[in-house]
Amino acid sequence: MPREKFHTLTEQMFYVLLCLKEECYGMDILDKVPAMTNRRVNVGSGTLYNLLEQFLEAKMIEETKVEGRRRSYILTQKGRDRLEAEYRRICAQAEDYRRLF
Amino acid sequence: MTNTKRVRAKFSFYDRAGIAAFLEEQAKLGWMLEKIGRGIWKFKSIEPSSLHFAVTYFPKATEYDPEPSEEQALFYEMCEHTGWKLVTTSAQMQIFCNEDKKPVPIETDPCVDVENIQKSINKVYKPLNILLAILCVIQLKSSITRIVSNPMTALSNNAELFLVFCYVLLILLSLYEVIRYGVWYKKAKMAAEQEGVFLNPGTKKTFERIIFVLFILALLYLLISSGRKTTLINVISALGFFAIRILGRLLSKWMKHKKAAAAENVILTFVITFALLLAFDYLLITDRINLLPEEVEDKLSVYSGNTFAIENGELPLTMEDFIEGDFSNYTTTLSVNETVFSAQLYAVHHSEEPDPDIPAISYTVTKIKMPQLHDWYLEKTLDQTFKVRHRITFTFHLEYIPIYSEPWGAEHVYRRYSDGHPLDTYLIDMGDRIITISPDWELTTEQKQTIVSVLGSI
Repeated sequence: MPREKFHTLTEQMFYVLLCLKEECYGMDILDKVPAMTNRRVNVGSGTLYNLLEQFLEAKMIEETKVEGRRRSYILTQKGRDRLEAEYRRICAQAEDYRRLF
Repeated sequence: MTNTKRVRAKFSFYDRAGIAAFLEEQAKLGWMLEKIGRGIWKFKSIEPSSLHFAVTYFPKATEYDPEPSEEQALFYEMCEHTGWKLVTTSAQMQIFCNEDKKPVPIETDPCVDVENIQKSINKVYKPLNILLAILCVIQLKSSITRIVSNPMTALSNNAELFLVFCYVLLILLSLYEVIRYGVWYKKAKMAAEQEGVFLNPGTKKTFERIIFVLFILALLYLLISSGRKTTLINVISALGFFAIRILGRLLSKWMKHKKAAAAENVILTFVITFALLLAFDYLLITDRINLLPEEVEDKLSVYSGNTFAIENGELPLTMEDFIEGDFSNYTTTLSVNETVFSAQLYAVHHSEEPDPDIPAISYTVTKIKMPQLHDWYLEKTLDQTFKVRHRITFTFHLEYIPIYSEPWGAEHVYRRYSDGHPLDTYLIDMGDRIITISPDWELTTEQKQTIVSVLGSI
């Protein structure tokens, strides 16, 4: 059975959504993610472009401003719920780890 | 030293790693990619440098876009932000280079990457391969129908067999591409989701090479086994079709240069190219254009085999062999086709005036090289049903019925009947050869024996 889209978020998806907790220009996410992860995670320009398009399509983010080609986005309630669910999943994983080690 | 070079580069559409590695190697040798053509890539000379290349896909792009769309321009800006400069594009394929020693890759999430490739492949590459396979299956079906309904003529024609072979190769190649991609996509999706890695499709082209070698061998066989005239006509026709394709490409480029919308460009290029191809095909089929000047045509043989002994393209039997008279205004037609299965000679001697009362003669001699085919050839020739569509569809049934063969000096002779009415067409079965002949008059015993003795020994 095909897996539901965005059922589990990849690391890149997670951080892109996290950046959009507040209104943010798409391009700025390229710098924000490495800054917030101490350069541990980088998002490629192609990956970001496609993710923004897919998140918009899935109504997880919405466009707030268009200035020429620059566009800014913000999380929708659906996006917040998905991010929250992912956070809980990661926490549960960490909890399992702590319980066993 | 020249400042540009052209390289034949044949990569799978989605073989990103192979393409990037090839371009990085070229940059180290002092060559930078400038433009991607159909299989030929143009490079310009640069200082040898260690550059990084990345190949990515923009599903919405087409080769007919007059310029990058706003969305594409935004994508380029995002890439430039991380140091990736656009080198060139070829439809959906976008090639970038980066001078940084350790740049952030354009694609960093294998899941997103695989889905993006899938989107691009589903838009053009996959439908085109499937369409090609379907068209070839349709053509193959009509070729097989021709072979099954009249094996004696079809299996003697090397051009027919060459086409069948080409259709089979194209079907195999296009299905192989679709299946290979499907298998890669399934594995790549799993690897991306479960292991977080991008699975490279690899650059192995063994299958394509085998198909290419088989095609070249078949083409060589076709050219060698055809007469010089047929070969020359085939080559000139192929060049004609090729010239029309180039005209189509030039038209498309011109429209792109004039900033015509992609949809207008696609429709106009397709309609004009298709119309030119149809017109050229029609002119060839109806003999409206002579590909060879008459003085050249007369000197060329129609046949290069050695199954039939034909001198200077002369008919083995003409009207002079049967009736006394002046036949100087008569036209001759002679063609010989030969394959590994059989060789067939077709000859006509008829008046230039379209008067049904003026006698004419036509005949075929089929020499069977594989005795196992004899019964099949004979059975299919003896009993034939034709459907003719002319305003209304009507069917007529032609069959050969055995006749008294002694006057012919042959063992098995048949006469053709159309829905019970006798026709002036006879079939002489001589075991290793089958002769059909249509004289416009009632043959005498002497004439019957001449036919068997001449056509039975050429």
